[in-house]
Amino acid sequence: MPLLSLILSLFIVVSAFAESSPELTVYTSRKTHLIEPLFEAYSKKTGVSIKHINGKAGVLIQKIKQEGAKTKADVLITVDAGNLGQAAKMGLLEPLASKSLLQSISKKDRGTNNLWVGLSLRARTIFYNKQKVKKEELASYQGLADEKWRGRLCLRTSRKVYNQSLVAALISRLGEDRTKKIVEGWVNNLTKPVFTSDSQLLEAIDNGICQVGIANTYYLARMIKKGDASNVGVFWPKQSDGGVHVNVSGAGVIKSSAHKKQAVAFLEWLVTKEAQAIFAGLNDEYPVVEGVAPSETIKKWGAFSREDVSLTEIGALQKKAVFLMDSVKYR
Amino acid sequence: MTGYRKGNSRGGWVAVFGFILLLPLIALFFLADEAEPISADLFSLAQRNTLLLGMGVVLSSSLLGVAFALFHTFYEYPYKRILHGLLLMPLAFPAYVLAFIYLGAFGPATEWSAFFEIQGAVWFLVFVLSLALTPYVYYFSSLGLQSMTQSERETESLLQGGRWLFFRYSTWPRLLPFLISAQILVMFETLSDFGAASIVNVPVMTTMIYKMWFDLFSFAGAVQISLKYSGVILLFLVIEFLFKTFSREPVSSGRDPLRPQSSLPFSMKALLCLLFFYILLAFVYPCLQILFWVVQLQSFQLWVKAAALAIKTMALGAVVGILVVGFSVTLLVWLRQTRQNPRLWVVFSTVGYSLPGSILAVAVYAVLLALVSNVTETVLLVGLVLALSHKFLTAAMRPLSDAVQFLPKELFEISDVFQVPWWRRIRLFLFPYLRSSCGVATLLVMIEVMKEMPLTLMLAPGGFQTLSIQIFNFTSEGEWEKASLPGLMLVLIGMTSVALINLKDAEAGYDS
Repeated sequence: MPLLSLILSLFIVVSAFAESSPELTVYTSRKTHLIEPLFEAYSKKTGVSIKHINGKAGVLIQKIKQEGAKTKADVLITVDAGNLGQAAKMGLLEPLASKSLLQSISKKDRGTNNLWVGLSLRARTIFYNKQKVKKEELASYQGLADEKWRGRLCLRTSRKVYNQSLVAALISRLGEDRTKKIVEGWVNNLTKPVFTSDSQLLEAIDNGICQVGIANTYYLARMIKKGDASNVGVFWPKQSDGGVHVNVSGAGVIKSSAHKKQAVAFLEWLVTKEAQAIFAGLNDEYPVVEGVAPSETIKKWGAFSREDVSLTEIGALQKKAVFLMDSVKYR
Repeated sequence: MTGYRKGNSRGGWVAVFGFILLLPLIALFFLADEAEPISADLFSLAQRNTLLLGMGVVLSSSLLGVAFALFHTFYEYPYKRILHGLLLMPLAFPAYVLAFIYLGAFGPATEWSAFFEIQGAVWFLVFVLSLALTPYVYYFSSLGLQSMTQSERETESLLQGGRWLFFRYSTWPRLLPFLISAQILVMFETLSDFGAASIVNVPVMTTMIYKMWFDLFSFAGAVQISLKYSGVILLFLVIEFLFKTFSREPVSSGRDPLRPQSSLPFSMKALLCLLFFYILLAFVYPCLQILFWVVQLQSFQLWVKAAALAIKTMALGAVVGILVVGFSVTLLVWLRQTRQNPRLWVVFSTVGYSLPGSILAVAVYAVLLALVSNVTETVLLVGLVLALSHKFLTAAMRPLSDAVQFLPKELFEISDVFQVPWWRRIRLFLFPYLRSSCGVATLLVMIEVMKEMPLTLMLAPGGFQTLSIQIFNFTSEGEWEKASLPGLMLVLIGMTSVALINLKDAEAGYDS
């Protein structure tokens, strides 16, 4: 009897961690402080309460897959087309037919069969130390494989999905063989072992430890807000040199969701000008909907031309990119 | 103490117990499926790094640990008791906390990188793990040397070969069994490391498993790597088992204890400096750095969140602790009552601890997939609790098995006469005797659970955060300052277990 009571009480404690189901459940890999204000704004506007479960994209996608038809997830919000593409490939997402969604988001920022839509744009571009590098020296991502950058380049680890997508985009534009040579050139030009974060990399560029590197722009915005990035310059590769690599944070409605209608309505709200301004402003990302201004911090860096590669293709090529990076010892 | 029954009639139960504990590995074997191959180059790099890491950490921690233990045993030096306590203090730091402290302070974005590279460097990982694990070797070796006597020491001066002959024929045989036990433990800890390797960005087998599952979305691939790697771990388990079966630990007579020499020769003064330097690197500096970052945070909100997270992590630890201790006491009392030798059961209980958390996570998930059609959040949480219980069963079984063996046999005889049911025996007669052992065992399991990283990271339901998961998330974005707060909390919790060891030593009069 006591053993039974012990087991029962343990299960009660364990079950206590699970909460009762809300009206809409969002699985998201975005940091809480970057997404919660949006949920609050939506709840305030519509009265729909939102429960969110945070975790790494891979973990959440595996979780939805395992939960199958009984999943509580209604919406998946994550970063990178590769992650969204993976969820789509696993058959977890429902095609979106909402007119307002499809009108607001251009085709290149949507997944195959409209299984997901982008919510904000994340530019991954070239940064340089203004004291040590002349802007004219820079041209493109592939240019960073030139010998003149030997001992001057810094990169973040290939484990990060942002770099996997960048290399996937290069494969799409330039082919596998050429991309392999480029990435090999990058590895040869490294002045430091790969960094584990973009913030560290930008800090090293600011300190002059690295002269040039590749990072997402919002990391620089964060540094500027802290007031310690005066030596870092932003460089946008021109369209003729391939353009700027852009990825998205995006969302899809879960195929097994019990609240599909509400989920679509939530996504429709997320692409309104009101939500876009909050969404992009929270993390200094670029709005995905035309006509919405980016934050003041990033506006100063000027406009850029996007590379001409579909995000769906980037997602599809990501695994190939991982193997390519492994093969040239880009860690 | 009552003799054990010969020809164990309940051998079948041992087999069932062993089967349950080996079930995750069995599941790996049967569920291994065709998977997309991982890059052969990366896989061989991970294998090479794991091998280098294992050898490097065992070698360096053995050299340091044995040197400190010999010094501590044979010499009297200022503040000996305090330094003994401080030598054990690095055990309070999970290796991944030490890794991010050094990486944040001396990493590639700092001026120090002009002198040395630590990001992605295997030598740096060896350095960090050696700092964290040397106290094990020191502690075990010191225990071995405790059995030395003063008369043995005095024969040193009579021997013509002097110090070396004395070391070879008297010190070494006493040291060796304990040293090998410590080395096996250090090897298991190193082969299991995920957090430090992940933060330093050195590909090893445990990080490959994570990469396959969560970066490349290939659970089948993770199962395959886990299966291969668990073969290596099992090999070490067999070595440990054979070693423990055939080795004899020296027994102290308790008489004529060794009197440490008070005058320090020059070489020993140098060793004392090395000891100070080790304590500085492994404990003092990390403490100061982490406190510096915490003070810099100046965010009340982060403090509140970290405190809430600490409570949640403690709750998880307490659930696992109670479960494991409850099970262990019930099992051990039953064995004692039926006069069965608990040795095999205790040996089986080490399987989970020896398995790296990442392998155990994959294996337990594979079992869940095989048993439950829909792995919901609750199922995953129950799976996590069971996996953690499996991993830290040995932390409760070992101390409790000693405590149960020393229970007075009259307790069992009286219970038999009055035909008291077994669960009432535990509550009425045995629990008062075992209360303090149970408390200590629960605390030890709880602390281990709170520090654990890969198992919790890989099996936790979405949104379920612990202190170690938060450290992983912050450090993967290079946010050292933010990681310092959960890091500090884990260190403070870890200090409790070190204090327990020190207390135990003080009771035994060991460090005096």
